[in-house]
Amino acid sequence: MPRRDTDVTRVIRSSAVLILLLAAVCPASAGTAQADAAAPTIALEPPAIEMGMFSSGTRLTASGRVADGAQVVVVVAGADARESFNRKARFGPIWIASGQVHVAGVPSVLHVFSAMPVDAFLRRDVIDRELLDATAVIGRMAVAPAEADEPRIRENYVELKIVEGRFRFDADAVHVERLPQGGARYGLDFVWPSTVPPGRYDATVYECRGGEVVGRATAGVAVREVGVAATVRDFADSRATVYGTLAVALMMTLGFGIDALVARFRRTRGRRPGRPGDPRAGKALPVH
Amino acid sequence: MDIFLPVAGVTINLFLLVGAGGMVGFLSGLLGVGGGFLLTPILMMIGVPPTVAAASDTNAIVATSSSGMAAHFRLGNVDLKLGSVLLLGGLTGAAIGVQVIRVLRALGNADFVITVTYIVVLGSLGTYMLIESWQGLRRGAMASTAPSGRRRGGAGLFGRLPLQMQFPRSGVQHSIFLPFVLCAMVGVLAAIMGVGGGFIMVPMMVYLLRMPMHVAIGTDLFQILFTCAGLTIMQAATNHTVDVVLALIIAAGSTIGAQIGARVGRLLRGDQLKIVLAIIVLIVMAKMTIGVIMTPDSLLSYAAKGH
Repeated sequence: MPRRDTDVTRVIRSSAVLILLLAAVCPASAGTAQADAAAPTIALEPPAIEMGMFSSGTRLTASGRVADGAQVVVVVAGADARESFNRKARFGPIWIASGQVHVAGVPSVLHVFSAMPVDAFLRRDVIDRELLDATAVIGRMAVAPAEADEPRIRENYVELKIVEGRFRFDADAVHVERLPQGGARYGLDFVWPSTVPPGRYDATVYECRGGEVVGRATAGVAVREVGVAATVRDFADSRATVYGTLAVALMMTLGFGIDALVARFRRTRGRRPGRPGDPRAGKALPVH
Repeated sequence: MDIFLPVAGVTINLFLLVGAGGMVGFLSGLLGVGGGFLLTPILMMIGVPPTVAAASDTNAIVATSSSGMAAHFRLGNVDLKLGSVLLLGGLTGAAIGVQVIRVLRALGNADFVITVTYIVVLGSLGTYMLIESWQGLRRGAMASTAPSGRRRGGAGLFGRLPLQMQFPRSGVQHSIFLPFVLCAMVGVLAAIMGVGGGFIMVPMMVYLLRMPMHVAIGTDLFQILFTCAGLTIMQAATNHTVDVVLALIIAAGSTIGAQIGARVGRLLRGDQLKIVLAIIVLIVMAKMTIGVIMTPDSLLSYAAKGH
C-alpha cells in the first residue's frame, strides 16, 4: 500500500512539472486560449445619469470586450412592471372603453441593441428566453383578464411602448472590432430616452456563438434626480397636502399677478400723450 | 430647450409646453371653458404620463381661470352671487354623479352610457347653439338672448318657485333653486362624462338662466377656479401626481393666452362667441363619434380623467 501511494504522488508531480514546462514554452498560445475563454466585459459611460431641471438627453456609451468571432447583443432593461390600461371593445356598432386590462411580466424599459437582427445568429428559444425581440416580449407578457382579442392587446402594448420610447429594438447599433492581440472590442453609443423615469437599470452584454448565448456581463446605470428637481419630488411625496396647497397658491398668484401686470401695462399705455386710452378698462361693460 | 419634470419624471421641450398652455388659455379666456378636455390629451401626446397630465393641468387651470376671471371681473363680467350658487350646485351634482357612476359600473354598462351621453349632449347643444346664434347674426340683432329693457327671469312654473332672488350683475331674477338644480344636473353630467363641464355650463347659463354670454363666461371661470383648486389639493394629497413645474410652465403660457382670449372676446359679439363655442363643441362631438365608430389603432389607452 505505501509503495502504491508513492507511485501516485510521483505521477502527480510529473504531470504538474510537465504542465508548467508546456506553459513556459508556449506562452503565446496559452494567452490566446485565455482570451477566448474569458467572460465578456461591459462598461458604461457615464455610469450614472443625473436629471437636473434643465437636463436634456444624456448620451450613453456602452463598451467592452468579447471573444473573437462572437456576436454581441446589448440590453438595457428596467425592473418588471405591472400596468393597467383602459381597454376598448366593440359594443354593437361602436367601440367604447370597456373595463381595464392589466399587463405584467415584462420590463418597464427594454432597449435591445445588436449589429444585425438577433434571429440571424440566435435560436428562437434563446431569443424568447432572454427577451431579445418584440416577438419574445409579446409571448412573455401576462395579460389579465384573458380576452378574445388578447393577441391584439399584446401587439398594441409593445407598439405603445415603442412610441413612448420605453422599448427599442435596434439591429444596427453595435459596432464590433477585431483586436490584433485576440478577442474583439464592441461599442454602442445612444441617447438615453427622456421618457424613461428615474430608477435603476441594468445594461447586459450577451456574447453569442452558434445560436446560443455563451457569456454575459452586467453593469448597472442609475438615473436619479438632483437639485431643484429632487427637492420638488421629495416635497411632493413627503408633504403632499402642503405641496398641493402651495401649488394652488402659486398658480393663483401667477394668474392674478399676470392679470395685474397686463392691466397696469394697458393703463400706462392709455396715459401716453397722443394715444387713446381704453375707455372700458376697469369698468363694467355693457355685455351685449 | 428641454426641461425635466420632477414628478412626471420625463424631459419635455419647454416651448411645446408653453405653446400648448397658450392655446388652451386663449380658449379659456375667450369662451370660459376650462380647457382640460383639450390639454390632457395634448400633454399625453407629448409624453407626460396620463395621471400626471390630468392632475397637473388641473393645477395649471387654477392660474388660467384666476387670470381670466380677474380680467372678466374688471370688465364687470363676473356674477359672484350667482356664481356661488352655481358652485354649490356643481359640487353637489359632482358628488351625486360619482355615485351614479358607481351604480352604472356595478351594472356593467357605465362606459356605454357615458359615451352615448357625451355624444348626444354635445351634439344637441352644439347644433342648437349654432343654429340659434346664426339666426341671431342674420337678424342683425344684438346678442341678447332675451328682450332687452326689462329684467329677465323665469316665467311660468320657474317664476312661481320659492326663494326668488335678483342677480343684478346678470340682470336676471330666479328662484335660488333653479341655478342650484340646473348646475347640480350639469355637475352630475360632468362627473359621468369625466370633464369639468365648462362647455356645458356656459350654454346652460345662457339658454336656461338667460344670462348674457360675457357674464356667463366670467362667472363660469369663477366656479372653475374653485373647483380646480379643490381638485389639485385632493390629487396632490392622494395620488401625488401634481407636477408643479409642469403646471407652472403651462400656466405661464395659458395665463397670457387667457388675457388675449378675454380681450379678443370683447371684440366679438355674444352671437359670434356662441358660434365659436358651438363649433368647438361640435368638433369635440365629431371627434368622439369618429372615435367610437372607426376601428381603433390600439385597443389600449392609459386611464386618465379630464376636467
